Amino acid sequence: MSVLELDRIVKTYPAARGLLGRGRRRVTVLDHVSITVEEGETVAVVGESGAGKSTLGRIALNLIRPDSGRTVVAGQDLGALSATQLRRYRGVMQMVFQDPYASFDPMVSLEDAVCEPLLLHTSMSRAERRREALRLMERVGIRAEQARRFPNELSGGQLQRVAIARALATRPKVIVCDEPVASLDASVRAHVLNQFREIQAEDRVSYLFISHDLSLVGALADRVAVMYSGTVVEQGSTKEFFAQPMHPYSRRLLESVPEPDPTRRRLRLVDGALDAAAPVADGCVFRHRCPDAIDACRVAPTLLPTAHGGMVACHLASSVPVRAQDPRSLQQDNGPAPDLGPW
Amino acid sequence: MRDCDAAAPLLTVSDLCVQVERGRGHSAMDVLTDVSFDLARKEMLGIVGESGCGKTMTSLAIMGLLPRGLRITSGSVLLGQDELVGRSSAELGRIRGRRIAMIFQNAARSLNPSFPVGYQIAEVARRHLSMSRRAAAARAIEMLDLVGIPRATERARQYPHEFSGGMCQRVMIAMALACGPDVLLADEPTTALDVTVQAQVLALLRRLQEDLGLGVALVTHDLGVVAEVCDHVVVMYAGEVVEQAEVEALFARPGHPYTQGLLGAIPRSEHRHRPFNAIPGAVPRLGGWSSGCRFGPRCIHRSDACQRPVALNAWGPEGSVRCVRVGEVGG
Repeated sequence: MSVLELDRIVKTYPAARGLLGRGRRRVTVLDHVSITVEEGETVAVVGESGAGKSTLGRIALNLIRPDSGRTVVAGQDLGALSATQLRRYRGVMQMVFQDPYASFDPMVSLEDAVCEPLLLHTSMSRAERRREALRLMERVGIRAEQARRFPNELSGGQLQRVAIARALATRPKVIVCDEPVASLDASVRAHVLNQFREIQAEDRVSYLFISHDLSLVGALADRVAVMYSGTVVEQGSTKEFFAQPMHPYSRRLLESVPEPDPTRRRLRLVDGALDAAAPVADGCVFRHRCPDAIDACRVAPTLLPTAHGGMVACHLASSVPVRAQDPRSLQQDNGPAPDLGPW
Repeated sequence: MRDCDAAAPLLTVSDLCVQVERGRGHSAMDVLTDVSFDLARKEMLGIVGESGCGKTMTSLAIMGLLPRGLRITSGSVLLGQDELVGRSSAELGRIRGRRIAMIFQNAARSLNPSFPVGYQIAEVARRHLSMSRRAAAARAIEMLDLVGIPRATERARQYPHEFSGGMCQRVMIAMALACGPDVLLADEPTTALDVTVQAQVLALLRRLQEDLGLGVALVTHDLGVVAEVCDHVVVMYAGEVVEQAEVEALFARPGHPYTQGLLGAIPRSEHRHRPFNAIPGAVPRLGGWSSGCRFGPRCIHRSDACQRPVALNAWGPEGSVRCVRVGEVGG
């Protein structure tokens, strides 16, 4: 059963008003975005800044309300709940954000911070809450004597683990993780990632994992959804996606990931005046940057199933994977893709 | 690859030490200890390490832009034949821009929001090259064109907020190169950019470096970026150089346990089926450095010999490693 179902989510914001204050135009931030997350699954949402990833994460938590579309968490449509019911329901979904220092009150000790969701969502006594908070922190490798400390006394990696402990306090079904390791140093990032994984293996919790780091996503996620300019342009299993990206934007993304192997430099160092994603009023959102755009792209493509069980929104999807000028893609049916990043 | 014809390096940093003053009653604290490397013409040198290891302080010390309270206590920075350490700020001001320039992570914040970008580039040319207003304006457009900004004449009149992050970084590069320096220090120039834009900016740096014969020192925490564009690598940990090597040698046979740890911590496809690799502990804070090997407290290979300070030992072709057990461990 899907634990989180985002169904045709639309979110618009009023555009910056003109000098005369009459601008009634609205900017579409999310345009009919649908993503589901199954129990015990990690779904990564990737894409560049401004694609709508974080907005989607906040809608999944109902921190902001969509203009239209349904958010269903563990079978419950969040839009149908009153504010009071929603508050009671919040324990089912939790979040971990990018900057751990900004996610804790600097004046509240770690122990008290982890106790707070227990106070709100359970009927535990003070002693029980304290015991549970210590147990949760111990689970992420924070010792009891550290629990009395304050956020600024911990390193970023340690504090992010406390953030995970706090998120686990209410035994959530789904945790939205918005760039949870982006601010951490390479050597400590692994601790936090392993923690995420161990918890999932034990508790069957699901993650909606928002990230711009494709190497990480490739190693961590079960499925990937690629967002571009407020729409999902491709989604599918991580393995298929990295072996055979179908959308031209997905391929561009994967080609841009620097590979940690100097003997296989493959960054398309085509330097030129690309850039500048011009806002697109109609048609395919990517067509102005797309190397393969054709006339048909003036009409927006719909997200359609691919042969490998994924979905892609591209008129050229059927012809895309086999391109004569790209010999790599021809070999992809027999064996692993040779050159598409570490995968 | 070192350039053969360039006999003397463009930039030679030797035994550079930087300390922070801590007021009365406290001894000064080391920020950088004996940092040495050199940079040749047409070379891209990667300076890597985690935050707090001294990468940025090294580039600021070279530029003479150390924050208040920090000072160079010994060592030398040779730009060509000229010593930069000990120069007055007026003298350094004449050298910066003309012969050595720097770009930063947050390009948008490094530009003045109140002036058109063309004006800001022209200002640099007028100040350092005493160009006329008209010549400087033409120079600005030429530079914007060089860094791949389309419709340069028109874009020169626009303000920083009208440029995307990647475009702002191009403007910063144009400004840094406006007076024709030989050496460019780039401090995490692509960290804030999206991966597709990062690829473009790296490509641009690489092209400019070859066309203009620049020596570029690229400060970064991203080993993927290093592998893609650098020729030579300096790995820093806790204010000192722990390893330096040619890029292929470094990735093929990292000598220092810290370098090995950093390379191991990169997420790869095999981590789908086994845990991600971490380095135990965290980068020590300033002043919390061990008196022996500074990486010792986190090192899985440490032995009694690591209690004493460790010198750089030769390792591989042209490389050196600050580890007493180099060759015995990992690699």
